[in-house]
Amino acid sequence: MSKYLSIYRTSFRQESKTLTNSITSVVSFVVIIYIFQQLWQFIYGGNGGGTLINGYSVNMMIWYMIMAEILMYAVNARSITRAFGNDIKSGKIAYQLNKPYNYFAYQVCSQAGAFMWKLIFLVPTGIIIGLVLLGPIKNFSFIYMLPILVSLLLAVLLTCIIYGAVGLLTFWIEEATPFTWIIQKFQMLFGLFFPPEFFPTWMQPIIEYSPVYAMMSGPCKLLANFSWELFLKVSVSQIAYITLFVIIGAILYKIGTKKVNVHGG
Amino acid sequence: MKVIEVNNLRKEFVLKKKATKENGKKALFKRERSVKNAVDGISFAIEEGEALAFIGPNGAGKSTTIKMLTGILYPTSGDIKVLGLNPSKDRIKLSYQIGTVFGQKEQLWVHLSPMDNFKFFGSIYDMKKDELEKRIEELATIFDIKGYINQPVKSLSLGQRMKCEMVASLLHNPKMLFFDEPTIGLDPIAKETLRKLIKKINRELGTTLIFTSHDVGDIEEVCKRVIIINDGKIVLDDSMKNLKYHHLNKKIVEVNLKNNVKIPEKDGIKVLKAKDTLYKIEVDMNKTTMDELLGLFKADDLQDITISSEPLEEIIKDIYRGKDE
Repeated sequence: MSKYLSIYRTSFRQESKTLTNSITSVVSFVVIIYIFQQLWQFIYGGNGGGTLINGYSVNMMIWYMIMAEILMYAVNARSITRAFGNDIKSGKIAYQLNKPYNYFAYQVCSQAGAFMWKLIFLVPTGIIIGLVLLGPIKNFSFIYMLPILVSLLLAVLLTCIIYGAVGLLTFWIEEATPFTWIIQKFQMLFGLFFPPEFFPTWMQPIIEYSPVYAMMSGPCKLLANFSWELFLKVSVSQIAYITLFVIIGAILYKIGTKKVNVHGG
Repeated sequence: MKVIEVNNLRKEFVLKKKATKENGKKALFKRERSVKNAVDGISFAIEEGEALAFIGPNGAGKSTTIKMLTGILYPTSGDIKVLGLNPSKDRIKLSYQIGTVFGQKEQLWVHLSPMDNFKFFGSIYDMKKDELEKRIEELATIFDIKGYINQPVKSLSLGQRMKCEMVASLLHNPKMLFFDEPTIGLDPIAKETLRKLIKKINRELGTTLIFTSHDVGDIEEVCKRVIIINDGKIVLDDSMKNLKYHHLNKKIVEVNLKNNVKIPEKDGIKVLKAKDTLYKIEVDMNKTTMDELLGLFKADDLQDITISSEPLEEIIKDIYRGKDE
């Protein structure tokens, strides 16, 4: 386990050397939040005046969206899939498979380390911009910060594992990024843009039992409207999906390494 | 003690045939396949502490063999034992005992310093802090990298980076090192330095070396034994000394004469180049003698003569082309 922590730490340190990239990303994040804030205020009609849409006030909706954007900005799904693709296509996999670690776990920890660095910028920026634009969240207690952070980190880990498992498909196919693209669109449609309550009643349980809920809607709902029951529900879903996708990834990795056809040899 | 034992090793790659006008419709549902024998029933053994060159032309099967020896590729059939382990079954176990240096690929984190990288690799190989620090100090001295050990890898020259790559591969004290074109892209001085260091690793640390390179200089300077593979089969397995001795039957004679003369082509004597009074002649010592060549021109006509052996590179090229038999 300590070697995977070391991979995570080293990747975090490597990412910390790219400060300019991080700052650019934060600027773009602020612009996007501002645009969506304007958009939602327009939909709600000015400051909302207490209007609720599917149980969400305009402030709740924007806090939901801030959390969703933090997750989207922190976790670059394509970079996870590409990391596998690049290693396999360039033959660098020969170096990776020669090391005493599980390559799938290596990539997941390495990507999670890099995303953790981004979170250090995005989380405070998200909170500050939310407070400036909307003021404090109603009935929010400081103590909720810890479970929300735990949920956020579990969501990042789960997203890395899911896209990592997709990346393993490169052992069989030339390009796995189209699969990433499809999953990402589901994640955006059913998590980023709207909470589950905005969908037809028959769709809501499907979304709530889907990985998208554990990756995105769950943690976002926690920030918009925290409750301990919701935290428990989201955490169970996240842990269950992490376990499931670790198993899927491990199986794919085991079969994939037998199929590996290293380029240039 | 044998550290590698390979018996009747084969690796087949199944290739899908391209769809053509003739088989287009059929190929839509079922593509025809062909089998390529990348490695075709090879057997060899390597003793502990040997420095072996495993060479061959592009597509000969050398990288495939190396990748099977390190457990990256699974053999189609045959037996491999590396340090008593089966690489495909015990890849992780084996990885603690071997190291790899690939000239065209990097394993270092480029934004971090070599020191940070070494600490990372130490933790990957479960090394204790004291043991790791001692090892870094030892290798940093041997490889003379202390001057830039704390600079980011991305700011280092290719030669400096390759030295650090080698240190990273040696940290866990591997019993065996696999080199794949380690000097590619390096300038002659950096190449020379790296070759000396590789020799030093072999001699002083007793590490077994398996070396793949297209650079004959690398092979000539570092390795004592050479295996040449072509079309998936071993075409030569001999000591470097024997290779030179048995195959150096051709001499290159360069003469400068006072006058222009017509040198007749004879069996074993071939004029490679003639410009004014300068001649470059290839002499096959199995077919003729140097006396016979010198008899072709008058002694007082001779201004200058240089006799050299055919370069090893030419010998290896001939073996690749199958002219050796």
